[in-house]
Amino acid sequence: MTATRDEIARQREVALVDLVDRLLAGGVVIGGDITLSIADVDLVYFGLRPRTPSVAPAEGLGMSLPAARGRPFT
Amino acid sequence: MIWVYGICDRPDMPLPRRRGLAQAPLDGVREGGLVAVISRHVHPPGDPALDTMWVHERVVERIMADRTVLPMRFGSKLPDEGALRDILAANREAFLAALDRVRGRLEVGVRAMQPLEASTAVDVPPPMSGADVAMSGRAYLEAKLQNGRRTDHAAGVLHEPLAKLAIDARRQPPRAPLEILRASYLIDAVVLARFRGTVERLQRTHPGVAILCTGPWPPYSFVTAVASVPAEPTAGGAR
Repeated sequence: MTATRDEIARQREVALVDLVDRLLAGGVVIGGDITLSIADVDLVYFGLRPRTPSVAPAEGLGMSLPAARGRPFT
Repeated sequence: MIWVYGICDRPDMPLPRRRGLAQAPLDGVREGGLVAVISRHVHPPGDPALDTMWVHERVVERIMADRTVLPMRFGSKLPDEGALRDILAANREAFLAALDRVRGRLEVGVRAMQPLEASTAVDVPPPMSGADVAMSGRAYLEAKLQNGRRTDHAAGVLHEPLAKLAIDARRQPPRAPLEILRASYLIDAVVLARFRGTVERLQRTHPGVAILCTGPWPPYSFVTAVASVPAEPTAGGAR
């Protein structure tokens, strides 16, 4: 499967959005001081987008393309 | 102040020699057969910057490499170990049950998106307009209603065969422009290859949409119910 430059850029963005979704809206909440509420998530997305390509190398995205193979969490 | 990354049920296992946020070493707080993986901080590293989130994620993934973990929401912090022990004691049964539920399992994220250049490639209404990233709550709900039809359509075609392979599945309303399906699947680790194979097959049979698969993730989307358990400090919690 060949991916165009635009597609790769979009896949990176999707992996980042998936990360933010999970860390800020998922997971166990144990009380105490939670930094962000769900209402703030969109704001975080807005701030993240321009930084996406430079901050996150592809292999750091926890991302697997449909054709990818490999053991999890190596 | 302590930052919590995750909760495990093997307090006997040594923690990975790895550093967490702000290069602080990882430590474990043990209570009642549970261990919370934490790091200690004078100043709370609460800034939700992307690199900070990746550090949290990396720690959780490392823990998950050799044991079962309930990942914490980013920003889970407590004033001291006593407060954490109280929470572990008060929620012990819920945490143990949640650990059993995700043991040997992984979370996979799937999004289906319309191609940027060809919004007519699929037989669905056009996507909501751009500039909706920071939309208001009301606009969000309106967009959600508007998107209902194409989301339902995508569900029947893409979501069902994937959900059949999963222990559990969560669908979220599409967030990004051009997005027609956003879902998380909790799958047995041994099903991962088959799950990916199914994603590939769906991509081949539906060339009009881009199906993006991320993960495997720690089971963030399948432990949130645990959070509904009120964390009431126990009066005589073991210290």
